[in-house]
Amino acid sequence: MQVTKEMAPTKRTLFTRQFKLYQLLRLATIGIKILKVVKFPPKSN
Amino acid sequence: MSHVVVLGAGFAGQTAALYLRKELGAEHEVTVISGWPKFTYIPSLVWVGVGQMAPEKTQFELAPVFEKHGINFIQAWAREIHPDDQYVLVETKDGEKTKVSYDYLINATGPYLNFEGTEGLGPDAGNSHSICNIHHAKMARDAYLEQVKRMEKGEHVKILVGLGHPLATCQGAALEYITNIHSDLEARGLRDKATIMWMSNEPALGDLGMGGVKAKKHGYIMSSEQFIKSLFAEKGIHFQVQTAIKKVEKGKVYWENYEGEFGETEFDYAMLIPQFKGVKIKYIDKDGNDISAKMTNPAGFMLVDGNYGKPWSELKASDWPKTYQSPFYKNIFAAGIAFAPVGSVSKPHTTKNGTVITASLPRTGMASGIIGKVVALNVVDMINGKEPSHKESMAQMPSACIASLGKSMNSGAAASIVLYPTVPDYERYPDFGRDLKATSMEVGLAGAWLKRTLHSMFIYKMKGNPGWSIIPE
Repeated sequence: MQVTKEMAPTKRTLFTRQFKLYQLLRLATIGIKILKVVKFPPKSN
Repeated sequence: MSHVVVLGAGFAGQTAALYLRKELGAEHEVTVISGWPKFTYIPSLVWVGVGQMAPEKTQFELAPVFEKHGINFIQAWAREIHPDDQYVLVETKDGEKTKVSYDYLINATGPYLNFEGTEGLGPDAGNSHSICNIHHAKMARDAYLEQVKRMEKGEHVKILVGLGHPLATCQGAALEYITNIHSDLEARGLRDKATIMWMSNEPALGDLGMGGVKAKKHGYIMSSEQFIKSLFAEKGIHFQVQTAIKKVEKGKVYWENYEGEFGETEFDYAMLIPQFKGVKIKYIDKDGNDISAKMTNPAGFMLVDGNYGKPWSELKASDWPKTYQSPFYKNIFAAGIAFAPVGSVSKPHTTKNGTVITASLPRTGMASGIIGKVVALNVVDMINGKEPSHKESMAQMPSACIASLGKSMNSGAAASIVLYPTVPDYERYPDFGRDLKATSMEVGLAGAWLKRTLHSMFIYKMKGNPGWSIIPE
């Protein structure tokens, strides 16, 4: 068993993860990203 | 007139039944056979397991939904499939056995939870818990809340979450559970009273049975190992990967790691996902011979149109099944967990003691729904006198995994992982096997909102409410 501090998020990252206005934007972005990949999956590289 | 029988009413079965009814005329009959009277939205059981969602919010009665859509429903367990004579032998909870004839059959029976594959594992043995079905999730919740009471009295407890078998899958569900326990204890002001530990068969943290994920982030290419390591660092979760749990006793697991070393880890509460196998249904031919070994792989999953038998290093994306049609009986299909994958995506490992440790590929949720739709449309093709034309292999299928890290709509979070394709295709994408433009990973409150939205949206869809088919699988 190990426990690490490596890659732990900074206070700024933790703040943006909970900042509601920004998260509303992220919600739209993730939603569009999912719909795009589901409806129009990449056809070729 | 054709009669299509669907075995199972989970994501794959329910999706298949709804599409069959939508696409087929009234002269054709659709019958669903399921041992459970209710549909359960399995992804939300992580919340039931920590007492943050009432069990009934994850379920609805199947019979009224099927009645509304003109789908027959038989509440019974499928015991035997007779492919030559085209009938399924079912058994009701009263032990009554009847034959259900079919023209086309879709096997969407989901997993058999193979607790006996690991000595002492599971709620029946009384040593560990599971959140793989509603009954187990309720038992897990009650046991977890007992530990919370101990912590409230000032005691320190050890919580172990992970995979309970060397070949187990569904790492994502276990990851959601462990982070929801962290969030719940933090909200109760008890986080310092618990040591939370992760133990899994993954080759690396964040493998998730999908061979890990790479995504562009902050101008770099980040791996899911770094992503999950960051989460565990933030939450102070201890971890041990490359580990096969071999035996569970009250308060202790016995394990073997990649190096072939044996060890023990003590716990006060454990939730360990069992190995998934195919549901125990016998396939019987016209002479009464058991042909299950021909129809399924050794784990009991039904063989379909995949290119089976290749070693892991030689597997290609093109080997994965596309139509999910049985190679032996063209009128039988498998969907969701019931179909046999051609192999694992994660690199398998054999220890010096001969133990095979491999994180199996998850085929739940989105994949199950997509495959359910594909097989339904292929059956419709065949009824219309055509060959199955709908093809979607897991190497051409996207995945969106919204892993809850805390349910609260105000302070919760989720890891939103979008990837394409689910099974890496190194011929199309030589560097990482996946399209990095379509793949992303992020953590935030937005994910918690999305996860809760998906809960409501999919229950709406699975009920076949107006516009259900517009909602993507």
